[in-house]
Amino acid sequence: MSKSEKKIVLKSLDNEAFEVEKAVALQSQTIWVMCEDKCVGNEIPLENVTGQILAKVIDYCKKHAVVDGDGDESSEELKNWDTEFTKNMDQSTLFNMILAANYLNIKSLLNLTCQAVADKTKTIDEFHTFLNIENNFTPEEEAQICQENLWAFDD
Amino acid sequence: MEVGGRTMPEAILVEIIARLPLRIIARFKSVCKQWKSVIESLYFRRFFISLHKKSSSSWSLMFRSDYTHPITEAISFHGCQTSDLPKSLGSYIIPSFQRYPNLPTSRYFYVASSNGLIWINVFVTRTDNMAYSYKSFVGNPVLQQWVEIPPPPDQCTATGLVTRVDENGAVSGFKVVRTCDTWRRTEPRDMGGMYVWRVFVYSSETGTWTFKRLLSSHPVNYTGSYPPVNHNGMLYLREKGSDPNEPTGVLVAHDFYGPEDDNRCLVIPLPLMSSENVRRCLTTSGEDVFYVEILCPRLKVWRLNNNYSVSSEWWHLSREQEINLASVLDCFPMAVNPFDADIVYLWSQQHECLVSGNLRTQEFTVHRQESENWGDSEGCWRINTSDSKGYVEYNCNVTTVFILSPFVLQRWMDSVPCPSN
Repeated sequence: MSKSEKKIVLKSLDNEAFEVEKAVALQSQTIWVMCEDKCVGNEIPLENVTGQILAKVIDYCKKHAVVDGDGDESSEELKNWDTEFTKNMDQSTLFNMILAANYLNIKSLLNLTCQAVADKTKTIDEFHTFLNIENNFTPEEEAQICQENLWAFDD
Repeated sequence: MEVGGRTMPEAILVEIIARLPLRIIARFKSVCKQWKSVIESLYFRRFFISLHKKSSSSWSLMFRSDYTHPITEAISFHGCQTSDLPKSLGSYIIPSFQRYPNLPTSRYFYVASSNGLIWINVFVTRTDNMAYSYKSFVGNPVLQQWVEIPPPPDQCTATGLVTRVDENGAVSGFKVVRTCDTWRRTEPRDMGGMYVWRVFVYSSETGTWTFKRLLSSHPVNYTGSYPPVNHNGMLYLREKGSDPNEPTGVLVAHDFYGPEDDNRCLVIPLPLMSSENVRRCLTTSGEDVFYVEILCPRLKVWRLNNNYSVSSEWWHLSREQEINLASVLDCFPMAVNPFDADIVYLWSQQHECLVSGNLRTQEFTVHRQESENWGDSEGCWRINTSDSKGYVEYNCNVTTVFILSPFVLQRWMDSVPCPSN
């Protein structure tokens, strides 16, 4: 196989180009389908992902491609790598990673990042602020819900 | 929903929220209408259960309590990933009755549990027109939901609680079973050569009591001193052998959610005791009924065959090994972990304390303190030494089979089923 067939170029929303091994990129079901359909050349534009996020997604895919390839690396090691990977990401990066994992359809990365947000977010206020959610309950309705779920509000 | 100017699809919100513990999820219902309806959907419920099916929910191994004993737990586990409860299940029970202003503040007794529901008797001051001095409630103390069970039509002894679970794993109904004691409990054999076990059954579907005559080939002398084990709608009564020289005994079992006209009981012999010094317990874990016997240092774990009609063997020997620990000589089996049948709990006579053992790794831990609390990566554990000691002392004769009642919270908590009226 020639070099050009094994490599693939991913281009981010902000026009950053990443050349990666095909095996790495194909962990994304979205890219896999694009390649299968031969509807793209060797350069795939990803209109929903910024370069900063795409770089991280590629890091993840590289790590997981290697491990899945030789199958010898312990799953424990991989788990630790995953934990480290998301540990220092701020909420905004994590949410963008989730959106990217969803768009690129990489199930394991979606699971990992959703779990990371869940682990870091234990208060309603954090979600409120972050998602900019408007509470559309009347105070009476809210009190009623709290009353019905007293166990959850007890400390 | 917007994140930094970008829309967060609802499917992703579900992915995130379903990974939170149940307690946090319940709080999130108050965030907005969209979240409340997402959380209350069947899709969300199924997804949550599929994500948490490998982790255990909160559980407690309860002592059946009576006049002399308040509600206590031998071993409890809480604060886990699934539910994230701040305290043990047993400590929810009495405070959850605060909504009933006419009930006393003490004298609550634990009778039975099934699929996250428990049956509590409350002794109240008797007034002239009251036939009974207690009120019975079935419910979920964490949700603070209780259904008051009307008094039974006649004198009878609290026996057990069974539940029906629908295809989504939700408890859709329960039955309260009491054994009649107006006649002698065991009548002479009737024409068919069978003994009769008379019961009153209250069903949450009808809201009424019905009387049933169940037929057993073994006499039923149920007095309430041994709590029955329940599993999948079945009650298993531990009955002593009819021959006093043969202490092994049997289980008399009936499926209370079987066909309405089926009044037969199964009689299941317990595995034969190899010696009078065998110590035994009966318990449930996951989808199975287990029987553990110890003839120190040899430990055997038997699993009841669920496929009664096909097999000729009632019990399958799932573990047989030596306890390789000098300090756990002379011990009684107490119970098995409700989520992992390879974790056993023992009582050490020598140290007068509980011992937990992992049969896969052969690791045994001796819990020497009076009341021990500790946390690990799974959650918080609590061990109650003094009540366990009392229980062992009261029950340790050769015919006894230790039976603690596992109160196991469902991974997803649904409302307590109650009659429509």
